[in-house]
Amino acid sequence: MYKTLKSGLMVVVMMLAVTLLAACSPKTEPSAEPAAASSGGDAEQSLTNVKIQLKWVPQAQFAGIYAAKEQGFFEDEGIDAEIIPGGPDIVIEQQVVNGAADVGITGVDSLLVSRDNGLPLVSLAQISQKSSYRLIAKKSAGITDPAQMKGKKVSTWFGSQQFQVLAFMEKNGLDPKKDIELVKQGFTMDQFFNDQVDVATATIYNEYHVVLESGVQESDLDVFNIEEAGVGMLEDTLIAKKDWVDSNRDLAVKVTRAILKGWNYAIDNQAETVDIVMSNVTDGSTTREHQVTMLEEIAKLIRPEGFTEQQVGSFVDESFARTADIALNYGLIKKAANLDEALEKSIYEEAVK
Amino acid sequence: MSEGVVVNRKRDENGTAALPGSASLSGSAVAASVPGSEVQGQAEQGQLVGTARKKWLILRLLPWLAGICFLALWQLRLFHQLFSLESYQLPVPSAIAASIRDNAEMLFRYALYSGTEMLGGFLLGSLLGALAAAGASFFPTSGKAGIAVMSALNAVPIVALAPIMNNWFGDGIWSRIAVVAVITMAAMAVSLFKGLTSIQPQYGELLDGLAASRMQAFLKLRLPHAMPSLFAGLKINMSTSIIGAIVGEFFIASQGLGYLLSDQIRLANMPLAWACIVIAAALGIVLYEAVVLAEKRIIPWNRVRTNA
Repeated sequence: MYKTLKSGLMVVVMMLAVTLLAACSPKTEPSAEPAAASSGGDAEQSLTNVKIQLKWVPQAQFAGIYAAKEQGFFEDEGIDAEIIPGGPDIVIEQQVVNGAADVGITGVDSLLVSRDNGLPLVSLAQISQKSSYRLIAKKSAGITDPAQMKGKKVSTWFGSQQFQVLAFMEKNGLDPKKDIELVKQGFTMDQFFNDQVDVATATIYNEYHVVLESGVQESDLDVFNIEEAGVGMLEDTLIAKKDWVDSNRDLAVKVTRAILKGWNYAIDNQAETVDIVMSNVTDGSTTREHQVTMLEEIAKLIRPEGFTEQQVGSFVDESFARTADIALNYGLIKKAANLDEALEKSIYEEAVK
Repeated sequence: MSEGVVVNRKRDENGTAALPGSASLSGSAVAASVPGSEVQGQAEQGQLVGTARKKWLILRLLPWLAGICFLALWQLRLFHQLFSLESYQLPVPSAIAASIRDNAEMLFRYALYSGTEMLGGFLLGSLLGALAAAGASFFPTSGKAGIAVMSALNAVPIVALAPIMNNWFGDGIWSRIAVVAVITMAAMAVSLFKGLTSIQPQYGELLDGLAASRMQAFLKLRLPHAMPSLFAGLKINMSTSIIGAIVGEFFIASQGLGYLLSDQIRLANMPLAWACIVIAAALGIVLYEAVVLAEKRIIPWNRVRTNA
């Protein structure tokens, strides 16, 4: 009996060892090597594979990137763009830092706190220039003034995203820890619909229209604009790992250029771009109408009134300073952010030359 | 078993069922199977007890030594070298300890919260499962089918269950208790049902011969015999209830270890995330050992003997 036990044990140990060795392959290097040309003799330029990690699921929020791919802007720069959708369990910063993606779209708040915790990430371009957050309440809750939120249940997304809301509360004389009951908001607006919360957070390009599309009239809602209150934080930004940028400066510039070109195209050709987006969304996850409004609204955030085409993607110092201040004041980050290091302005500047 | 004497196992503290009918056979066998060691021990008592004691001490300390060794290797960044990791991907034990110290109050509060979910769901689910199994044991054939249907619940993954329970019970503590209750209910039902129905037929026949009612047979025969299965089910449930509570909190929760864990991973605050893992593991071990202790007290005759 012991003989078979011994040999059986040996087999198991060997299997485990093999599995362990296979799994523990060295950290994958970011794919900066050019893809091999299919036939040896032709003079066609080989495309460099670049993985772009989206902040969320495919939707018009990322229309510029999809448009850039469809219109060949990436190809023009010699890039074979691979767009990786995000989702509930995907942390963009982790994907970029461990090489699963070369660049990613994430929020500036998230970038700052990741940098605060040691992740070597930098921003290549600032996509969204204004905060998209609105606080909405049903008229039946009777909250016509922010001060009336006292004692009410307010839901917002946690992690790194609640800080604009905290700043908004303080701006209106409420102590976010004592005067309101802050609860975690999920990915749906169910809590708002079911009256589980009095006030919910909604982005102007997505959740706000989800609410309207469910049959609630605009006249039934009280809406509070966080950007107009002067406490908006910057959102979508293009990030990459510092090492990758340093060793692939040309590639970083090309990717940035292609994406910003894609966004300008998307903003100027919205109907066509929505078609492009719809061909990339998960079946049944959204409607064309929703994507049309999403693109309309996000276009206003990416190229606001008064911005030229060249200014899309630019770093507005005042907005960054405000974002970093709110992050520090409310404890999102423990040390003041070093914006000179966080923002790779040179990449953007070269991209729009 | 020519005399067919029913043994009252509860009275027997030794763990070996002494059957009067075959005492003459087994008794000598038992005496023979304990080799000269006992006799030897008596003779060289002082010396043997000394080395035996030392051996026992070393064996008890070995797991602790291994643990300390593991922690030391981790602190010295062996795993970082092995898997080419950075500090921000895998924090060292000192960073985790510092994080526990800095956030002790919050971690304690959240541990209580998650612990309540674990225990609440565990007790509720185990009770419901036990009742289901007990009820099913009265009707063996249809009961078996019913239990099979219930065990289908086992196959529902927690990640699917959590959002559904959130929808039913809102985002408070009850949704997680519900998640844990559902996953523990099926496991307990299956385990206990097996225990209740795996009785040697001779016992059943005896009680039938004595005109015992179904309830009497249940209380005096099935239930005592099923106690080991009950505790086996409880031990399994304790492990799964920890997973259920923590994973349940990943979805919609505003407090608890699972909530903190998922939040801190997003913020790349790895030391605190790992602190949550450590606290959750410790909580799990403590609760599991509590069940094991309860088992030792309640059914001491079922102690599994090993050659340690």
